[in-house]
Amino acid sequence: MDPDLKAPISTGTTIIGVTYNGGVVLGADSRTSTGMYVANRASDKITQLTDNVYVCRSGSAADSQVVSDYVRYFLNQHTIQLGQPATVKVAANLIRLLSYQNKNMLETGLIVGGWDKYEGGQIYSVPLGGTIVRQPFAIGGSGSSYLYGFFDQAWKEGMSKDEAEELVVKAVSLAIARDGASGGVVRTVIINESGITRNCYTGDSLPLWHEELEPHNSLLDLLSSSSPEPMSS
Amino acid sequence: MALRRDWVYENNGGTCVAIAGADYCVVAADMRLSVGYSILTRDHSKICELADKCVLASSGFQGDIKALHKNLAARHLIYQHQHNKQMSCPAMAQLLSNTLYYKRFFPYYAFNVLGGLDNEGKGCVFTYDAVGSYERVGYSAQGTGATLIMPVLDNQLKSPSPLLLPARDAVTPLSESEAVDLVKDVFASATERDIYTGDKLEIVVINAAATRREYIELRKD
Repeated sequence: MDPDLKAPISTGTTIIGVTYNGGVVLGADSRTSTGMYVANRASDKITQLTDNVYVCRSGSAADSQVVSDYVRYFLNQHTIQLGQPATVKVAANLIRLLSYQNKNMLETGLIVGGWDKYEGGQIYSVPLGGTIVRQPFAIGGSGSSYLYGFFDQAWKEGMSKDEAEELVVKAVSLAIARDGASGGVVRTVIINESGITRNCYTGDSLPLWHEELEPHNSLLDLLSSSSPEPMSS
Repeated sequence: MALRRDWVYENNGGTCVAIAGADYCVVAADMRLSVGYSILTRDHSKICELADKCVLASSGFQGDIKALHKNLAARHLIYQHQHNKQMSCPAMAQLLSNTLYYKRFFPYYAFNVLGGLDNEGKGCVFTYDAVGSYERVGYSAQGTGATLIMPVLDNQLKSPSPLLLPARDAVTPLSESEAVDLVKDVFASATERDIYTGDKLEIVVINAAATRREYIELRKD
């Protein structure tokens, strides 16, 4: 198996950011793939930039890690110089500056989410070319294709924290069901005035969708339960 | 499809594995060097001891790998002169990532696993792609036999679930000798099914006391 160098590890992914009444909820799957091989089934795509701002990463894993590392470093300096926590808008714009100015070389789509005392919970989407747009909710990654219609129907303004997290978990699990490049667990990060909460939802706690199988501990359980039908044409 | 005349790389094959335990780390790689269907040598080490408690194993294009190892060893020497101490494994992990990303647009064709002990004496393993994306994990395999070995390690190492964070606690509860035995078994199996893996296995075990090396024969066909 000769790995194609032009296809470095990429987070074929589903990432989501949603605002609610009081903060934001960020969500992502945990699959990192190189072509058809799952390089990491338990990755953490929601990365911290500051105490109050996190970013969901998609696209090239190396590019998104390096951009996050630079922005974390700049924000750290900025916070010291400013004397108070950085705003979500500043964090998102630093991401945007790096993405736009290096657009010919980078391949990474990011969703920045956080809470600050001026504007409350905010979500900023910074897709491939380096556009920045503030949105009440944002979706990204290869799995997001399956979620546009879902959000058109299910999204509403002014949700509670639990409603928002439930929406995010449902959406990521729908995308995982349909997108081969998304899988593993659903990770969420809730950011509000009080702080951060990290959650992890494993396969057995997620709802099943059309024609999916019940989760099994091992395929051997299937063998011992009933003998398979012999094949016939 | 037009003939490509700018492909400067070559895959010399081989497989590398690293497993982190509570107070040890096992880094292993086979010793076969191949080009296409030929074997160039049965005796080539893919492992480089960068620092006291830090060992790098790389598979891929050995030309780039030799250059990469030399680069890191030189940087480590400079670090020792400037800081009057050895680099820790997590520090070397970041240096390797930066070195790989430096050549983001003309990459090192190297698939790396870095293994050693962290500042608390716990085993740590870092796994990389060719352009520097990296992560601390409890165990990893890279190279031509990696897809054959990883599922077995997932099943046999009884590591705490990788789904839960932080990663530093993802070390295997197995003892050092159990981990070494498992490494021998997975390489024996990978040798059967991967033409580029075989000949000999080099195992480096790092713990608080010392770093020891072991060689095991593998199938030569």
